[in-house]
Amino acid sequence: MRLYSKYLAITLKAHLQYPGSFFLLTISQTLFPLSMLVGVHGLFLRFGRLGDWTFPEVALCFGVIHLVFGLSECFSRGFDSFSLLVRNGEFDRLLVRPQSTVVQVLGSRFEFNRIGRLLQGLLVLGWALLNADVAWSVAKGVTVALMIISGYCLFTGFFILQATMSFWTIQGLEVGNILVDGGRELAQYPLSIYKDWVVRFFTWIIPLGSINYLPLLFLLDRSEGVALGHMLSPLVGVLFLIPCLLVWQLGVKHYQSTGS
Amino acid sequence: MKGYISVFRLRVLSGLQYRTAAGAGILTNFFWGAISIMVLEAFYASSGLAQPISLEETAAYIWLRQSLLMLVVLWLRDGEIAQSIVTGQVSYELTRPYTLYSYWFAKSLAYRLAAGALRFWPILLAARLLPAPYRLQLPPDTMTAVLFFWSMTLSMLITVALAMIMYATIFTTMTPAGSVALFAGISDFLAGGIVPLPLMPAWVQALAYRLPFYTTQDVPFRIYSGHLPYPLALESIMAQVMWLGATLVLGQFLLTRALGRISVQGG
Repeated sequence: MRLYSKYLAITLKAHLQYPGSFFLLTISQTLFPLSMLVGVHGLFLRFGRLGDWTFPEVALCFGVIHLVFGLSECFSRGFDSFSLLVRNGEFDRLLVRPQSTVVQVLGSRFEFNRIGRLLQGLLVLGWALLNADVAWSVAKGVTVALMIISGYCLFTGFFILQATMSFWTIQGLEVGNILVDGGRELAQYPLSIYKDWVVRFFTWIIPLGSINYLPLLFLLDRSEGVALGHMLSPLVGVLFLIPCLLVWQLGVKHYQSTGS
Repeated sequence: MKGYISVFRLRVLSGLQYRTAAGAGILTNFFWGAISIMVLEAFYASSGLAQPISLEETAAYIWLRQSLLMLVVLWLRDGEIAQSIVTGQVSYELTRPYTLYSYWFAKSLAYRLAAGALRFWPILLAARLLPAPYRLQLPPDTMTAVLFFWSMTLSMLITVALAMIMYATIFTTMTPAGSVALFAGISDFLAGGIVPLPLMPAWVQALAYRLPFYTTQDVPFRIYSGHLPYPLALESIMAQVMWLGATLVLGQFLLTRALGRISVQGG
């Protein structure tokens, strides 16, 4: 953990050497999700509602997803660009150091300009929490915190899986983007608006629904069955990290240096 | 002119080498398109009112956008142009006996055509085979198809001309990623790339239809499905020609001005 914060501090200093560039990148990072949000708002003006959902409720989903995506891009980007380390053989260097590979890869890269997306997600989430029809309680506050932690873990898990693939393929694979970019796109809306098979897949196989859709039902008092289950459902996202890390260890064992 | 054509040919051929990368990209684009249509289907189902564009026309709009992405989005990093400005490589190019603008134009166009040629048909083919309302409809008649073809060609040229303007700004900002993201984030939205423009509120439309970006996506995609019927389609194509002229002139002006002030930083 100390090592990780050291990596963090060094990269932050390096980024701030070019304040103009840093600022421009940060601003530009917010534009894409912002235009998405304006688009969604426009659709609500046009159609009135989306199934059973109002705009603040969808904005809540939207805010959570962009917040946690920004978080994982900021702090777990090392795994996202990991295929580079494998291709130019730099991973060898990490292996001979007496530290865990996970921490070192995490520390190999941070993207602080993603803070733009992160802050925007936070603002949207804040606005949505105030405007959605939520009867607040301590349990619900905990749930919101769990959603954020869980989302961060889930997307980091995606990045780790994507990175692990490059042990076998050497090249980075764009296929992983389906999971990351597609998942982000999909989970901007409550899962229930999709076809049944999509809902099932993203609840049980890839637990995207556990970040925002299932706990959202609890926040809005719409959960059917065991409320506690909905409240704690974000924990699934945290548990998702375990198989990802196991696969990672397997990949590290399988690693053959490219030699150069 | 011959020189530019051979640069163009060379770039197309080398671009066609990247088949594997294209394969993965196709899957992502297809998945993204399917999600977007599912979301819009849910929106359409929520309102009983008649909408300015039908769900089938919207589906065509989205499939065309997803399959022709490479030709019309500004966030595509086409080749090494942006990089050559930052690294100073551009100074070598200036010593060569051609106009930088035309050379870059040819290079950029070739890159887009090659990437687009690899990707567009599998997506369109797959979209043809889907059940309604996801299925991609064919244009209502031959005339529409011909108009779509010409409109799409113009769209591609306008996109490259806009990209040239974007590159000219990199000389000032020196942050390709920032310039590209800034430019592309706004343009894609105003082109109808995020949500089809006919579904947007009046103020967005009022803004979008006064700027050149809508001619890169909204116009051809609506001509295709017949949402812009014959006389309107011709009018829109005239607007495209006009915007192409304007963006070409502006891009050349900005690039000449940027090159006049260029300072090469050693190395």
